[in-house]
Amino acid sequence: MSLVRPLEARREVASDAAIVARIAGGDTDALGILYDRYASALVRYAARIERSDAEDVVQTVFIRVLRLAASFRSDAASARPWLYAITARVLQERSRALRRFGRTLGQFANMSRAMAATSPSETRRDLERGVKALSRAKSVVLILNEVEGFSCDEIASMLEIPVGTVWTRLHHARRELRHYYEGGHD
Amino acid sequence: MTDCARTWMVEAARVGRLSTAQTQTLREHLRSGCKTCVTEQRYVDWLGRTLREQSPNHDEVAVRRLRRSVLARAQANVVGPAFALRPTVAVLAIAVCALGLGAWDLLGRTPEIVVTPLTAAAVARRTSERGRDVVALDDGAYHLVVRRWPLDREVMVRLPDGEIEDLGTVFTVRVANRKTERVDVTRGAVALRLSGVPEIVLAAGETWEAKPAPVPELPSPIPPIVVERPASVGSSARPVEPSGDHPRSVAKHKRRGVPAPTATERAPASPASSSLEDAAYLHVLDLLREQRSVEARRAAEAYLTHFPSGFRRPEMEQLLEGDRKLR
Repeated sequence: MSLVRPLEARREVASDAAIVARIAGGDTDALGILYDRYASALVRYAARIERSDAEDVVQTVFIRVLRLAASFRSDAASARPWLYAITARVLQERSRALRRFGRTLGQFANMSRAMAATSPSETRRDLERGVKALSRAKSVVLILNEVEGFSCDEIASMLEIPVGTVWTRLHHARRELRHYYEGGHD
Repeated sequence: MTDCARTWMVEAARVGRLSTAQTQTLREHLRSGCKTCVTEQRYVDWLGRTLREQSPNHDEVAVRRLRRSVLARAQANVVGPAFALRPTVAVLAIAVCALGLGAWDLLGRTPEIVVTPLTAAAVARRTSERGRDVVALDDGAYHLVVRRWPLDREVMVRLPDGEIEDLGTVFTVRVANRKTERVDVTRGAVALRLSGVPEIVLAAGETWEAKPAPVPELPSPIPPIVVERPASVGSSARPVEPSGDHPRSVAKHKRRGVPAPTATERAPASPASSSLEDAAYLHVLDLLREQRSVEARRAAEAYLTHFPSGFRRPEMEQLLEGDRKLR
């Protein structure tokens, strides 16, 4: 006989907007519910861009959610774009912090990009490395569009940039990754 | 690279920049076989598909462990500093805390962990990882007693398919075929995190059990074949003896004046279940010796739940009735 007390079974299924409203009121249980809904997906997203610190990124995201919950639009159907936007900002902030921390890291990144650009024979398995060699601005936009399925308009809204900037970044990201395809599909 | 003036349309179509008419134009152009544009189309399709297929490995259990850390930090942020201390008082408070923690360090912060294997092949390994004590369990049944103070190192019990975070407990774990089958908590609380299962916090007296595999439907029993012995020829044919709880088996036992054994009674007690039963009974005794009567009653109830045909059932029932003290 089991006396299991599943955490979610006794709660009504509340909308994301209702959950975020409770978080804005200081309800950390509601934060746990939002975490259960989205944390895994956000960790996967962050890991595509910054594998080693993906969990740290997501932890920062949810702590920031506490502070930003009051500004969440109550008519929004889902908190997903909002959470991804916060995650993208955290990733970009970390990238800027790394650049300020040491130029050697930037030089290494440049070397990686140069190596990637001059190795047309690399196969699709190296595409992951190529994505990480992109600038953070481009990789964030590329993953949000191609993997997470957000439209360019949604990405522009999430990142608070013009949609033309989104198109440009996508275009340049695809150009930089082109040789991975040509290497395996001559 | 681009030999065609329309190549830009391939990417533009993907990001939704083309009008309906332009999209139609592009389709016709691709159908016409423009090599540059067809290659471009294949490339953008390949890029999207490959990126989606590359799913980074992430540890589901680690994500759930992270939850506790996130909520703890969130709680601290919500509560905030209770009041602003004067600098002198703040420095003194910090100094006292530092001295206290230093003393704690001298006394030792290693939690006490006692792991008793309850089956022959059960193997437990204890290590230290990232400032926490880890007990890794393989297939088998185990009885664990963990005594830790709030500032002691965390204790984590690593299972083949997940982990149990100890929150100061006595509990039993059974693992088989690299899967956790059952967790019984007799004192304290644990947080159970298994792959594919939401995190569950089990308090004293609670049990988690893996869902059993669905029992296949058995065909209805075939009536015994009775071969009539011909008058002139001997036959060794006998009616097929019904088995199990078949009505004929019950009827057979009734004719003999003996109650038909139930499936539970007929199944021999495994050494593992006997050891678990003993451990549960001894645990009740420990609690009574320590005069922790409330927890002893809960442990007795847990015993009766888990071992309805247990050897010491009468004692447990009397304990709950409050008629008898076990020594």
